[in-house]
Amino acid sequence: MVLLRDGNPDAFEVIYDRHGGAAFSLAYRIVGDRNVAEDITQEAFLSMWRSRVRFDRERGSVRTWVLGIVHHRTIDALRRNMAHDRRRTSAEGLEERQEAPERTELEVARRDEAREVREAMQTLPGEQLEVVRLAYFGGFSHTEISDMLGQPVGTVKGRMRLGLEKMRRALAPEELTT
Amino acid sequence: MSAHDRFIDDVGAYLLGALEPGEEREFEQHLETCDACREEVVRLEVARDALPRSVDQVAPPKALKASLMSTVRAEAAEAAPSPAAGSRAPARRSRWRELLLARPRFAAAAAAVLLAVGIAAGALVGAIGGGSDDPATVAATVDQARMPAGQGSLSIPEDGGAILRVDGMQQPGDDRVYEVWIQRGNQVTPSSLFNVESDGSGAAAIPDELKGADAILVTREPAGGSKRPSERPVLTVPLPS
Repeated sequence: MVLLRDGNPDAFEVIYDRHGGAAFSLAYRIVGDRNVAEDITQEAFLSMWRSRVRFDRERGSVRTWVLGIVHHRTIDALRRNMAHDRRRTSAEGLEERQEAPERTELEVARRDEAREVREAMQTLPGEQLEVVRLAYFGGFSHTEISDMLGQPVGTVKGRMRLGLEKMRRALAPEELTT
Repeated sequence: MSAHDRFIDDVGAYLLGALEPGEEREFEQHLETCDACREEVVRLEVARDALPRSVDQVAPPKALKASLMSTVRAEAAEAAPSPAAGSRAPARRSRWRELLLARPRFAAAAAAVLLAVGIAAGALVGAIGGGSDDPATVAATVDQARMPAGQGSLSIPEDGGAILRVDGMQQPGDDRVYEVWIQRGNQVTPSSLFNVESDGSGAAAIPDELKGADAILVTREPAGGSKRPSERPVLTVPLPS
């Protein structure tokens, strides 16, 4: 990261190669449109490049940093209705997936990790998983979710906290620090 | 009920970005004085940070990296010390060469445009400095009726990769982006998309072939871009023929 702080494009390219796929996948999962996901990913990486000094290793891994920025920008775009009409709810677009042979090992690791996190999410009671997903992937506020589900605001907030607590317990800490 | 009791259930919503803006500010103020809530945020953060890792992995388009790195390298080159200073200049040329090798048609186009720009001095606003590594810069014409403070210029470095820079532009509007077009006669083809910062500044890399192009145009289009312009250009950069 020292090289990145110094404005080294080669170091930045390494970060993109390693985390660009996960970043694009997250944006695509949220907006459901490849073009919009592409725009958001590009804007997010450019913002990292231009404000790279803000990365703080004490706050976690590079990947967490990258995905946090992409998530923030994607939800922001969603809330500006940039992509609401384009959002798809299913796994539509599977046919567009492309394997990246030169990164097979990395791809396999990512898929394994995704499976493990999904298994942890499946340990949550349905009502907790629902509010976590609506907030994180849907970009809805707790009051919007409360209206949507017809549940009191306090109940929704409580489910969010309990859901994260249960997920934390289901995840082995060593899987989250790389 | 203590302040802590009132806020503790906000931790989950805060981490998931689900508090309303006013609540979020209030919660962050509370965090400054409440060790227990701060610890709870840190404790549950690992679960929130795992969520993006649960998604199916989808390969990004290759054009995304090409466009991103084109802009990054151009900005790095611009920020670098003058070519006389140390070893950075050769390294920069080497990376540009890699880009050109990856896009051979672009190398020819860039050379052709540079030649054209050099000949048509009337349209050339000015080359920055005198060194052979410095880019030629062509001024843009902005529709002052729609962009009263707008201005822009197109940089064409000798070693490839055109960069459009704008300033004083208005936001393109909700759900809209700026789209760059390349005009050849009556035909226009889409190129990059870009947004501007809150101060109206912005930049777009144009990796496309510019051979035979008459102008670079910019319009405001729906997010994701359009296949053809939906309005008269707000910005035009004439390329000398």
